[in-house]
Amino acid sequence: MNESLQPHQSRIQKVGRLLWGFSWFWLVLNVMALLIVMATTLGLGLAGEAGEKENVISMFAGMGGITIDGMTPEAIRSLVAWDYDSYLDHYWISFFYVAAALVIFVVTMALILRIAAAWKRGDVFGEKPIRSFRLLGWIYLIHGIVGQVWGMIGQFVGASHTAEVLYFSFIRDVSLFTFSMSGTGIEWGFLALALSWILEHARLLREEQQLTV
Amino acid sequence: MPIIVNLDVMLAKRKVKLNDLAEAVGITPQNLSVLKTGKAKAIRFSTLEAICQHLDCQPGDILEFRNE
Repeated sequence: MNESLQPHQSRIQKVGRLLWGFSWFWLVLNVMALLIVMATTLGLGLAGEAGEKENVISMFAGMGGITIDGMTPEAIRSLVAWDYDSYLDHYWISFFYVAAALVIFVVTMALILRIAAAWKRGDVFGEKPIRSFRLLGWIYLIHGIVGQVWGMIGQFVGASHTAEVLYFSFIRDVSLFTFSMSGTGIEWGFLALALSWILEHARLLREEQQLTV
Repeated sequence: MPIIVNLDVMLAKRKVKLNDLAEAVGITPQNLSVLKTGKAKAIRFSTLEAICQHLDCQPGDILEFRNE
């Protein structure tokens, strides 16, 4: 593609190539991280060794910066309503939450890779990238709504012990997924920049079309 | 842009007014003015064909490439 003749097209392809490379890097990095978490949850859940359990208990006791002078993690733990030991007995459930998170993440990244592939070809306003953008928007929207609703449900959890265990393991893993997906703000930043960039190109194309006689 | 539009020259040679050409070609005088002043980014073959037909000339008489 001749850059002087097709500056917009060339720029779109360059950005597409960059996005393609970064997306693959991000996908591999996160899949590896989630697989490690899955292996850990499965290992902890099935083996359930006392030492490992204690590590997790200490981690949760210190979670959110809870430190009380002169109190052991166990004493702090006893102040909290839900039962850590029971939670750890159900730790294997986390495996399925992380697996679900992994599937959603891979789908999300596959959509981003489809957008990048289309941009690499110089196709910004094609049917495929637009449909991928729309699906991506729905995934983020549903993810956000589920997160908010789950947070509200959490206010009423406690009536059932099983519900409590399920709720807290879910919250922990979804928080982990949220961090990898949107908690850093990278993806939202990317989406906002991508949309503004597409709109800018749409404006330039419209300008060109208006100046076609 | 190295493409020069010589529509004004052809209009003068054929003693045709811009508005008359616009009417004959079927585009607005404003759009034809955009072409005449060199502000246009592109020209449709159908427009070029109609202009050439009406002014009895070749596309090369209207468009010229100058390597700047």
